Amino acid sequence: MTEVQTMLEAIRNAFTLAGGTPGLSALFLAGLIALWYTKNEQKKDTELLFRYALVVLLVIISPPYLFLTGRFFTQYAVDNMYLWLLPLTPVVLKVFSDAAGVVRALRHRFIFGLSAAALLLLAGTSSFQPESWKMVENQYYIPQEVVTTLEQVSRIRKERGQEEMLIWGPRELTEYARIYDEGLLTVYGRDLWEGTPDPQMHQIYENWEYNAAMAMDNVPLFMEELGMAAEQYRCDLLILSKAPFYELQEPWPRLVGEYVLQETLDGYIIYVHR
Amino acid sequence: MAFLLPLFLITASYLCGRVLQGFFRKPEHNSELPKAGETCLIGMFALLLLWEAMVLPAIKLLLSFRLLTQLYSIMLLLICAKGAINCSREQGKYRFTPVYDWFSPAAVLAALVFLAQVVSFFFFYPDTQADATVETVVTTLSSDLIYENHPYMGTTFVYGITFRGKLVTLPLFYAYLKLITGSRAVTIVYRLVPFMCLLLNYAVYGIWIDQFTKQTEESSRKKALCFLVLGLLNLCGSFSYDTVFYYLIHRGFRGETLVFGVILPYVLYLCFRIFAHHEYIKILWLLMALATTILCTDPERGLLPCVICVVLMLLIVLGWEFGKKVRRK
Repeated sequence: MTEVQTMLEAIRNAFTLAGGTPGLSALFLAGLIALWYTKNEQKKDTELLFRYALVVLLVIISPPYLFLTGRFFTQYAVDNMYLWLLPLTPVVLKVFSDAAGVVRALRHRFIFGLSAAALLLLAGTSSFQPESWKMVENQYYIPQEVVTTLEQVSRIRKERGQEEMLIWGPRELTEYARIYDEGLLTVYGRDLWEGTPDPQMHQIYENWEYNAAMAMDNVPLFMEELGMAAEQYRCDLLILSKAPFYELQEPWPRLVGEYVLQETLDGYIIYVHR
Repeated sequence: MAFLLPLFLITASYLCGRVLQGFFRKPEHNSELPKAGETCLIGMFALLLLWEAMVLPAIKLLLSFRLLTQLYSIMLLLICAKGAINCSREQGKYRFTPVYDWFSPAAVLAALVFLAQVVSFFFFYPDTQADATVETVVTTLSSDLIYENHPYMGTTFVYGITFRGKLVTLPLFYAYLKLITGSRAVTIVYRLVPFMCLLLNYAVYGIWIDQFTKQTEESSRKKALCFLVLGLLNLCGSFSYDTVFYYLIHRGFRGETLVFGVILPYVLYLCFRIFAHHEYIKILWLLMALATTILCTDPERGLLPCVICVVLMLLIVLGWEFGKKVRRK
């Protein structure tokens, strides 16, 4: 019974997600009904589009497809990309194009245009996620406080006359260092904490590297380990965040292993190798 | 300079498309001009496939990236020159038909909605989760090596990328674009490439819209309305994750966006033309479109969905024909 319930739930979810949002799915379904209603009066293209859309919809909400993606191809079920096979845009365009042909009078056209826009807005905004609309702070597409620090780090690299400089710092710096300055190398990438973005990229991190990253995330607690790991990485620069020191009301050390305090910035402390 | 890049790419792909179309169809007097959108699409696929064909041996031979770009630029110039010659030779053979009523309210609104989408590339953060495109561009250019260094770290790979991974050469094409424009990697990847992808998306749905409407004065207004609907759909659909519209607006630089926003709708259109209208010459374009998916993303996310689309369409048409025969008997 639970398996049947799970399958029914999966069908419902697939149907809801088929168009991307419940609103767009509903719009697609309405478009499909409109196509079905007019398919006999029109040419072969419309009938073929109707049949294709219907078959794809039936396939992606069918239990065998959901069973296969749920059990064996879980990655594709997570991505939902196969749902994009659904010809949502062609169906919507076809329906609107046909509807526009029916409306003749100027007043009716205006009402039609307005209601079409309202319908699309409603269909799309039914799942509005404001967090995906953050304003860019600068031309580097990097948060401003990070840019300020990376500017200083880049300056140090140029002053020391190094073409490339290996740095180790908190996550936010590691993430954006190479985007800001290609001369900055990092000891590990974003893939260490995010997971590998590309299954074909075989970067395997050792256990001690995960420990080192953990030490960097919990800065004042593992200073000795941090110094040793930085030495092992052969870093040129070690950058620590000031915030954890403020939180624990501890002063930052002048020496971390073989690394000496070089300068303090707004939110960070920079150490260089002796 | 960088902002001329879309214009350059559109022109280059149009010229390349004209060269390809010229190979297979010699224009007769007063024949209809090939659809500009389709010509651009074919040309863009051809340029990307040429890039792939040059990158793969370069990886094997460990060639420097800059040498590769020089060779590619020469090829590109030759193709453009050939395309320009073709265009000037065939100029008198085509008849031009007025297509759009540019200043109808729907056309103006469609242009405004298109502009709103373009503005979003400039003013909002893209979704870069689990994405290494900019890092790959930067790393390729700084090391002058192809897929030898880790994009996030900049240091040499310990284990490297599989050959299947190396087939995806789209980020390297972005590196080439950065090199020829001298602009920042983020400007190319987060602004201009999504803009190009959006243009191609409009080009492919422009072909669909042409299929839905006939060439009359009334249809110009209808087309403008369809473009307005397309723009609204892209914009409003992008509010939610996991939609192709979200990818178009927030992840326009990803290979998946090119596949699902451009190639897949084009493949579907080609299936219509091949199976319903028996235009078998289009099989060549279909094969090109399918091959282009390989350089965009993993085959499971690029090639496979497109093949599924073709197979489903084939089965539907076969079933339909079979049904007709049975009914006749």
